[in-house]
Amino acid sequence: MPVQKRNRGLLIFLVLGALAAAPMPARAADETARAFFQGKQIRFYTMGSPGGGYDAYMRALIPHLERKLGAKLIPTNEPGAGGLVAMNRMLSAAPDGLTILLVGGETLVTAQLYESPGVNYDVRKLTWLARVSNEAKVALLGPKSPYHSVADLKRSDKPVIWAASGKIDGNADFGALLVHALDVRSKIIAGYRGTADMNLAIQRGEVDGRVVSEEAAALYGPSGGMRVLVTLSRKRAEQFPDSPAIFEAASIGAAQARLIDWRAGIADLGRVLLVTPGTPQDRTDLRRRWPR
Amino acid sequence: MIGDPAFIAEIKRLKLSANYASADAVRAAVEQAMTTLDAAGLAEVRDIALNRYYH
Repeated sequence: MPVQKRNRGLLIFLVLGALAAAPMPARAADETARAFFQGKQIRFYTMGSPGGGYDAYMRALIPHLERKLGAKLIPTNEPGAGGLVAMNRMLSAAPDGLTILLVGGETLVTAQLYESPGVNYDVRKLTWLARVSNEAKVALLGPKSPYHSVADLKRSDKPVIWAASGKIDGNADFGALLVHALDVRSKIIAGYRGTADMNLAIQRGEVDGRVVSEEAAALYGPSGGMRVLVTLSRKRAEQFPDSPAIFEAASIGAAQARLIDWRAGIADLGRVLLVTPGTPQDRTDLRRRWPR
Repeated sequence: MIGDPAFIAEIKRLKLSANYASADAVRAAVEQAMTTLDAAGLAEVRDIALNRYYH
């Protein structure tokens, strides 16, 4: 074959190859992804138990996702280890787009930062779809706790007692940073089995209180005679406008303020949706575009 | 979907909140969380969070 003709053949081959490798326009890619999902089953994991907050969000999302994708979503609760059980289910799934996870972004980050056992991921390499919701953290005190203000906490000559399910439960570490910033004598008792146990301990006066999300405080705080002392943020919590933000309630040094701001930024990650790393780009992008 | 009025109505009915942030925003927040503190700062935070108030 003449050299010129052979080169032209090579050029056509290279051009066709480049075209094939070029990214598809978004609309075409969406259509390809939609065609893939049509009639398929998608396993939807979440970290919460049935009836809990994560479960409620997952079940609220499902009919909308099914309508958008034409797929059947199978709700799957995998509570335990602060979301790490559900996380591992998602990570070990095939990267085909048929697995999705709703989990606390905050606990994923803190578990890695605190070198929690069982962390086998790097948060900087995960495939995020979106944040669904976020809430501020608040310090919730019980009806028998004698403290009614941050000044009361600071004046106490006895340790203030806080409840936690574990050291890395998404709340206890923020509580520790709070009392460090306020310079309040405190003790954290970890090992409660869950929300119900902690609430009982707070109502009985075995502990003074605990750090929880704004939403959780609104859900069971008022009915349990509990009150929000302070919001762990620069702004007051929407649902507790009469309770001060920590920076209104006390004068906090720059180094401690930096830690509170840093930790509040992690809390702000809220509830996030992820897919298995390595999922084809069009199937990931389609779901990144769902929310709008 | 998260901006879908039907989804918002459902979330409000359940007394939950919806506050969408994009994948890029989540990635940026994670990056900030992982890089704000240096090694000494992280060691101090670990001590405060995991040791100091448990005794």
